[in-house]
Formats: sequence, C-alpha cells, structure tokens
Amino acid sequence: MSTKFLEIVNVEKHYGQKKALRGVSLTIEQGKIIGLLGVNGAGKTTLSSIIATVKPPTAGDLFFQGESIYRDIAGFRKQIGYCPQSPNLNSELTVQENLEAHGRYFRFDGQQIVERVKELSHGFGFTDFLDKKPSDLSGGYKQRVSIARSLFHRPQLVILDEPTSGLDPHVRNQLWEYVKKMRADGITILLTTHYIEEAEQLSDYVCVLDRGLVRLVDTPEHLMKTFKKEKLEQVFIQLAEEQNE
Amino acid sequence: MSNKIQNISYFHVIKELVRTDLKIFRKVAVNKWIDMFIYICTTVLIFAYVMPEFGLQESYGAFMLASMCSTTGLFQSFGYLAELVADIEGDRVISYCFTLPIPSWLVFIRLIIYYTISFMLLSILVLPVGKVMLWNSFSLAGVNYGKYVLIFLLTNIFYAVLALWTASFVRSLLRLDSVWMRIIYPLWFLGCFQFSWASLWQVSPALAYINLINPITYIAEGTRAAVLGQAGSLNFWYCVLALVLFIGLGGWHAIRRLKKRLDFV
Repeated sequence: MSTKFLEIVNVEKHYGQKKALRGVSLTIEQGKIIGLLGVNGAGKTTLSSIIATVKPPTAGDLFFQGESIYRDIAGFRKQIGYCPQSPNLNSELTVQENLEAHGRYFRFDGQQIVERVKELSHGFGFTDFLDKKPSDLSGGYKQRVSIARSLFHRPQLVILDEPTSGLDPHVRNQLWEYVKKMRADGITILLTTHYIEEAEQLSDYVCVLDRGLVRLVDTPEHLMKTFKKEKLEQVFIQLAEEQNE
Repeated sequence: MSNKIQNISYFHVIKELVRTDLKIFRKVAVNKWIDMFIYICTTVLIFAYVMPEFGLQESYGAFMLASMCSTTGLFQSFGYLAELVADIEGDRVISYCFTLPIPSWLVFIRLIIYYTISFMLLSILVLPVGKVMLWNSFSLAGVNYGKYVLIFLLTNIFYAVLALWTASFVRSLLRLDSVWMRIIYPLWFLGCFQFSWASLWQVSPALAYINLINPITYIAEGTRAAVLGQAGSLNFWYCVLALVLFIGLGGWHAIRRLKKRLDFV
C-alpha cells in the first residue's frame, strides 16, 4: 500500500504568453522513484523546479501531508534536496567548502559534516577534488558534487533534474546504484531524465509530459505490456511519434 | 528526519549564509583594503595639500575626509552589484539559496546584511588613515562617536539596498557602465560630497531643494554633522530619518522587482 508523499494539483506555469505547464496533476508516492519523461520543452524542468520551490506556479497547488506547501515553505524545504540541470555550486568555495556550508545550513555539527563529506565524496568518487574549486572541475564532476550536495542533509524527497547528462557510463552506473540505495532507505525520488534506459532501470513508475500536460502515468512494465514493446524506449518513441502527428 | 533539522531557525540559516559570505570576503579583504588605502591617500593628499594652492580653504581636507567616510561604500556597492548581476545571468548560485529552509525574501535580507558588514569593514579605515594624513588639520576629539556609528551603519545599509535595487533592473553585464554613468555618478557628484547643502542653497535654492531627493545628500551631510559638528550641515536627525525612509522604500521595491525578475516563490 503506497502513501501519498506529494500531491500536485492542476499546476500551471506561464512565461508571458507561453504556457509551459497547462494543468498538471500528479501524485508522488512515498519511497518510490518517479521518472519524469518528455521531449524537450515538455515542461519537465519547469515542473521539477516548481516542486523544488525554486519557481512558483502560476496556478494550482502542491500538497504535502494534506497541506499546501506554500503555507510553510521553509518547512517543506527541509524535506527536499534539489539537484538542478546546471550545477550552481559557489565558485569562490572549494568542493569541500561547498559541502560543509550546506551541512552547516542544515545544522550538522563539525564531526557529522566531516563524516558526511567523506561518505559522499567516496560514494561519488570525487575525494581527490575536495580542495579544488568548481571551475577546476569537468562538467561531470561538477554534477557529481551537485548531486552529493542535494543529498547531504538526507532529504525525504530528492529531485534530480537530468542528473546523469554529461556523466561517463561508469559514473552513471555508480549514481544508479546510489539512487537504488536511497530508495531502499525509503527516500522518494523524482528523476527527470532524457535517458529512457535510466527511467526503465530505476523508476517504479514514469510520468510522460507532453506540451505541459501529463500524457500518462504508469509503471514501465505495464507500459511495455500495453504498447506491446520490449523496451520503454520503444514506447517513448511511439508516444513521441503520436504526439507529432 | 532528525530533530536538529526540524528545528532549524531562520536566524540559523541566515547566520550561516552570512558566515559563508564573509569567508569568501576574507579571501579578497586584503586586496580591497589596499584599494581603499590608495583611494583615501590620493583623495586626502590632493584635497588637503594640493588644492589649497589653488585657493581652497585648508580645512577642505577635513571636509573631504568626512565626505569620504560616507561614500566609500557607494563605490564598493558597484562591485557587489556586478557580482550579483553576473550570478543572475550565469550560474545562479542564488537559486540554490531558494531551496534552503527559509522564506525566499530572507535570501535578500541576508545579502543586505553581508553587503553592509563588508562595506563597514572596508570603510572603517577611512577615519584613522585620514587622521594620520591630516594630523593637525583634523581632530578626532571633535567627532561625535555615537552619531557617527549610527550614520555609518545606516549609510552602509543604504548602499547594500542600492546594490540590490540596481541589480533588480540591470538586464545584463553589458549595461553596467550605464549604471555607473546614469545612477551612481550623478548620485555621488550631486550628492553634497564635495560641497555642503548650505553652499548649494546659496548658489541655487531650487537646485538645493531638488537635491533633497538625493539620498547621498543626507548621507554626506549626516556624516559631516557627526564628524565635524552640526554647524553648516543639515540637521543630523533629519538625515537619519530620511535615510531610514530611503532604506525601507528601496528595500521593499528592490525585493519586489527581484521577485519579478528571478520569479522566486
């Protein structure tokens, strides 16, 4: 029996005349991984930034434990970790200082910060770069650090927006393992991705967005069965082709 | 989720954000102090020892020193403005702050606190260095320190607000030059930095009254009232009141405009 973690109700987002989201309703279940799929411009990043409370919706609401998240935005932010598509690490601080600062914001004490930095830098393989500034890192390493920072305070909901784009395959695999471990720990994950294989491997269910609307929400297995395909990618291609017709 | 995280206060997050900002400031502080030192020395040297040869009163050096106490933050605010605009245009580190457990508008209050502290740390040198340079031409015994601390604090809060307010409408780094020429330079040059409001009134009462809408006028006049004495300056307490109003209105308007620009919750 799954429990609702977050309920998104009729969320719209307009940028001037352009409607990026046109009434999205979706339930995110506790302890599950939801893969957010869609072609470019479908509204994936807009939706994930609204859930991460970086951007406000133009209309609609989000409910956490039955209450609008906007009634206690700071309280909701304690529960979430957000890794945006482009890493926004502080370029004046080293990798270690970026992580330490994040720990301090969330009231980790000195010893806990040291342990968490060690754990995450090992987990994501950037131990050798702790004293480097983000500008000295490749895009892939910046992304790893950014993901590690979003997980630092052990949030209940982690929002990963295209987390593996630009990562080497072996690092992508490492991240997948980490994501699976988080799910085993009961953490809810919203994963926005272009890699259908990634969504198939990791997601308990996927949500396909199409021009700002939810096209469908289902488990990868059920989708493949319904569309009579062997891979989720083939389902996605069929959906994209139908969309273009 | 641990109780510690559940009990994070807004104050704690703001304090830690400012601590991080100051950690970054520490890396550039010596450089900035050297810049300040050059600015103070050259200005005092010219106005106290060279300009009297062209007929200026010898006391003009002390007058300019008091003016400089009030305006060093203004020049620093331009650098902070550029940093903020570059961040908004580029990496958007500020968006990361919108995911921390505080209401988003507090992110800007934290910036105002940080800017104010760093402007104060940089401006604090002006009076002692100026005293060394002017020596017998300027007496520290004449400074009303209570009033000076108050106007010094309000002045630097105002410059912090000014940096935010300006950043709220500068669309790109390419347009920063215009900010300097159209906003900062006229504010500074017309703002009773090199002359008193009373002397401007003698030249043109209309221009003097128009100049009362310039916040730098109150900053320069209030600082001189605290450093050199009330005689010849606008009433100190009027200057304080005007500055509080400018800070309140400017801060409110800056956050409103930034909300529109950055589209935060």
